[in-house]
Amino acid sequence: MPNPHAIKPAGGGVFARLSDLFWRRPGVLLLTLLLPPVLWLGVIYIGSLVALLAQSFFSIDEFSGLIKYELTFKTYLELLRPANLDILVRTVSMAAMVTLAAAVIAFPIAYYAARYATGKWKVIFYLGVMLPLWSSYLVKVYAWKLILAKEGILNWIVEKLHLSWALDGILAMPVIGGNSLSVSYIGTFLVFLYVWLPFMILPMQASLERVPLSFLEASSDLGAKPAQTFWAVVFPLALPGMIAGSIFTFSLTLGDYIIPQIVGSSRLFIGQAVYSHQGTAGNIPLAAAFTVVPIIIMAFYLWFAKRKGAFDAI
Amino acid sequence: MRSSQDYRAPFALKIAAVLGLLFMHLPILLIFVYAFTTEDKTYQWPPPGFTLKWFEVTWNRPDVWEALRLSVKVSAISTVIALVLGTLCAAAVSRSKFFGRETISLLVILPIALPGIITGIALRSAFNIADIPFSVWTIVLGHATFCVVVVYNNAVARFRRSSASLIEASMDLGANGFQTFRYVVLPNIATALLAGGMLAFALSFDEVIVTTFTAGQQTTLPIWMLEELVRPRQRPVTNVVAMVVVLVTFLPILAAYYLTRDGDHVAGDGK
Amino acid sequence: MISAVTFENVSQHFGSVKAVDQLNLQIDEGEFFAMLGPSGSGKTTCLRLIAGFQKPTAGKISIFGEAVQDVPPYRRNVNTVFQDYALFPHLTVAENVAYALKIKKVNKTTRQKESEKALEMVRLGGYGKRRPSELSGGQRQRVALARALINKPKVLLLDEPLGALDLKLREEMQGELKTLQQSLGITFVFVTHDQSEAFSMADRVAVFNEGKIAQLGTPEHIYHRPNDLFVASFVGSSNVLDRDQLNVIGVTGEAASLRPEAIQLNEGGDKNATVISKNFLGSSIKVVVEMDFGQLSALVDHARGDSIVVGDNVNVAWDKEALHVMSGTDA
Repeated sequence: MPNPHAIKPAGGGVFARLSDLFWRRPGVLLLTLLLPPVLWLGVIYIGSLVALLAQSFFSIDEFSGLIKYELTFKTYLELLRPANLDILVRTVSMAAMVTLAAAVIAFPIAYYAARYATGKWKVIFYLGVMLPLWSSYLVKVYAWKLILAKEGILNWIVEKLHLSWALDGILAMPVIGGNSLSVSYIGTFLVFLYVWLPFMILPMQASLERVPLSFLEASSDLGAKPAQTFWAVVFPLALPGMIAGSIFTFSLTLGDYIIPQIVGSSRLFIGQAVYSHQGTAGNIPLAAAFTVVPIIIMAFYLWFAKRKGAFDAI
Repeated sequence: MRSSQDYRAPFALKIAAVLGLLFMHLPILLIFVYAFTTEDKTYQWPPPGFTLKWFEVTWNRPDVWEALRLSVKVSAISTVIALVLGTLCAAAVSRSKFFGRETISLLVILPIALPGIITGIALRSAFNIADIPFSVWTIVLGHATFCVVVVYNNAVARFRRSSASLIEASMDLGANGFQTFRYVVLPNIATALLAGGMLAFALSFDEVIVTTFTAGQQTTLPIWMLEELVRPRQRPVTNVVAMVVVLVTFLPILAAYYLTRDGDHVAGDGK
Repeated sequence: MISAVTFENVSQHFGSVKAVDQLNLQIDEGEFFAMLGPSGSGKTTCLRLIAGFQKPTAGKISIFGEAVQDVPPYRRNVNTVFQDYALFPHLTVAENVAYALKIKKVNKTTRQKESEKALEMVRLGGYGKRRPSELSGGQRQRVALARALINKPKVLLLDEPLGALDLKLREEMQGELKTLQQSLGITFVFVTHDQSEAFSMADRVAVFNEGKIAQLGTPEHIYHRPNDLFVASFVGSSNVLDRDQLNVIGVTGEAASLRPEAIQLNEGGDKNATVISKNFLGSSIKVVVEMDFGQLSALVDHARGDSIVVGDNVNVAWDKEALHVMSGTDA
């Protein structure tokens, strides 16, 4: 015997009534779901960002050291001073070098993991990238402090191999050299590369995994040599992943102030400049203006990445 | 030529891949060796001798314990907040195609896409403007913000994989929205949330850049380590702490991997 | 008598797409009703409107006389068998079947008893402890059926219920569904794009086209007396003759349908056609012949078809009432 009624009465209670409301007005449900995260991220986080950026249009009074709350581009002009411009150029070129090197080292790992690794090896490669990615940033930096130390393992290996002359030669080079590896740009570069490398591998592997084997077969079927197949088929298809990975390597290098402080010369990077201006110098406007540079670079970068479809690879 | 190229990796590729993996792992392994060295003034290699005594010394250091306690507290609270916010976002985005869902995704990704120093200094200056004193909560505010994204990513992926008709089926069988969430949605995304939560915890536990701006005088474990890195005072203790941190972060990562990999079998294997 | 489901001027628009357009429909109590049509014709939307997964843009829907536009699905005493079955992967088969009872806070022992009873009804007794992932497609389908029937709904909705099954299983399930419906006396409404499925099970069929009902009637009626060209061509592969072709054979009308099996190919008599192709279909043979006004397909049995050779001249004839002249092309 079917139930006598086709419609059950509306339930009492707040939940039943809310549930009815959500069904009748899906927009209300959507709003309820979105309100807390949007309040947190959109109001607190974005609000803080905007407040910070707004301060870059103020300036600091040179005599009193207090912030003058008047709109001005004076602070931005200060960015163009040779000393500050140096910092910008140094940081951006370091980020570019790190990104390029990371892409080169990441590619064989990502390609092998995506195309050839099966079963056990697939797991090994996956975890082999995930574990360094997630292990402590400071511990990784610390490990390189150990490696690059004068009495550390790298110098020891170089000595054992009787290659000290080569290392000295490299360190004697202008700009990239220095007294020892731990106070040279090469050192800074190595640590950056090491710390951000996993961020390049994962998205690259994700996009390579989406290249169907049949594409490669089709290409070689059509008479392409392996190298031609690589440049004509594999590389363009891996590009979105590479761009997605470079978002991380580039952005992380731009904003880091700890690595150059621990391993490297005394010349500043953007992060260090921001840190010292907001801290000891108390020059928030200049610090804010400095942060605008990576924001603008990253905005362009993200816009470009989106156009290349890189977001699907993240 | 074609078939050999398709099924066996070129030798050079294999070498490059394995070397790359070694490059990523050897430095971490090195730390394990240093934790046992008898040398306490320099980073001398090879270590002159091995000892276990630094473990005991570290164990008896109240400042390390204090820092650890604060870190765990901050990470736990941040993870809970990130779980709530990330799940809400993921549910909203996967439920409907509304105007601006791209914006929501961008909003969630932004805190990790922008350099940490920007998030840090922005929050710090906001605290200054609003006259908020530094506390556990100021640290949590920063951490939860960038932890949302890992929970969100995991939850969105799971929502995408589970059939949309499950929710309809539940409502069809008499369950209202809340009952459906309790009996169908939650059990289906539970492992994804657990994985996302673990990653969020690991992310927060390790964070230092934002924390230096939002902590004031408080010392989390990463801040403690940073101080040691800048001005080494007790190298052996730092070595031990570094090794323990590596081990402690590996566990949730491994667990998260197995949870998401077997996501469908955890609930599905009854045999 | 109150009808089980009534649509009054119901429309469902998604942006500029009119999935359902000003639709009127009555489904009787205890009826096995089929909604037949190509994909995108609005049949599934109609089913979802009855279930309550969607709210109509306009119009009134009632279930047993009660207006339901503002009633959420969980308060409608209507249950659905989903196309992908939508079994909860985290629950056992028995827990799936008893889900509705658990929501109603029925105690555990009763739940177990009821779910075992429902599983026996679909011939899956003893399968309760398994997971849906351990069942075959046909078994999952039965679980979905048991789950939807445990609450004894007033109306059971089935969305392409047999679509994912292979041919043999499908035919078996068709019979079972029909028997089940008759023994339970529940109104069944099912959606399909397969005309043979609709015809073999349903008491009445609504043929959908572009958000409207092109024709509503018994399977026999729709098959033999299609309203328009769309119905004639969608329901089986009929020969459709247009006005000019009808003129040639001396019939006036806009269009007409002529069922292939109604066409006789005679050896004697006036040789008015040439065989241009012959296809073996198993139980019957499809022969295409060329006549002075165009081509016709005929279905003949082996007794007649086996001897026909392509190129033969034959006599083609049909009973006068087999030619169904339609009122108009767009009706």
